Amino acid sequence: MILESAIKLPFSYAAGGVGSRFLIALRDEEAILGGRCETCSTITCPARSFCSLCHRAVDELVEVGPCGTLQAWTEQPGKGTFGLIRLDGADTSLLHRLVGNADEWHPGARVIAVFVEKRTGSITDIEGFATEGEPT
Amino acid sequence: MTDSQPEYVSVTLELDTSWRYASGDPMDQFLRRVAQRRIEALRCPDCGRRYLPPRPFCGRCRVPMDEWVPVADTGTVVAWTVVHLPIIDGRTGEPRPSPYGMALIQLDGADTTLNHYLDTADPELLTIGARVRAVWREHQRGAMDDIIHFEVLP
Repeated sequence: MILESAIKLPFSYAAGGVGSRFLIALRDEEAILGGRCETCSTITCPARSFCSLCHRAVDELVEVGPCGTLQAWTEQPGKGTFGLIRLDGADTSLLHRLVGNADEWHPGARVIAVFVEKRTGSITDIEGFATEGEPT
Repeated sequence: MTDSQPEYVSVTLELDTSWRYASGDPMDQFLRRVAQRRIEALRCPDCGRRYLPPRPFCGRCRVPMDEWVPVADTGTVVAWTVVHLPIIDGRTGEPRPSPYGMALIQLDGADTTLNHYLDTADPELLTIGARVRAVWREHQRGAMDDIIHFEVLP
């Protein structure tokens, strides 16, 4: 016999200065921001408050995407399809849902962010990424 | 928002750790009987100790058990408490509405205690040694919560 059990843990955390600017840009401008390190010029997306390579504070945010290239993907039965997306202009990959009518995904596929209508300042203001050129 | 007053965002999430697990053979047999409102315990062939909930081995003699013996749905409160700071209910993943009673109950015919919910409608009746009876759901599905809780017998 298979038994089921669950623990649900609700929690919240402060997005911080840079994280807040990233989320507010999603909400107010449908813009995806990366953080640019002034030392090594690496653009991290989502934007972080520090460069993980130089350990320097990051304050300069630049818009990246909304198009990008799928690096890798996986399917979680019942939950959806998820991908690592290297947005145009960014040097790191963003983990997000893959949506739309694509029959199959492949690394290298061109994708574009699909925003939801009612945005709240959350990473889910992006519904997911669809194949580029797909009507949304 | 003005430039002098940046807006800060709080991210609210829910970590949902749901899982499924194999009950093991003794619990499988036990729950199939519970679905028919029957409770049975596993009896140790060496020391005769009757385990409820059933366990595959006797914890004292370290021998496997496979002899099922009938147990009543009445028993005696060995320990009890009223919970005001609820733990998470494993069935729903969310805290159970509080306050609620919990008790270790030794069912008639078993030698171990069962951890289950206790009806606290009449707090005057709650005492160690109180006689209790299972309150069954109308429809059983073969789960421990086919018993809603135990009520104290007047």
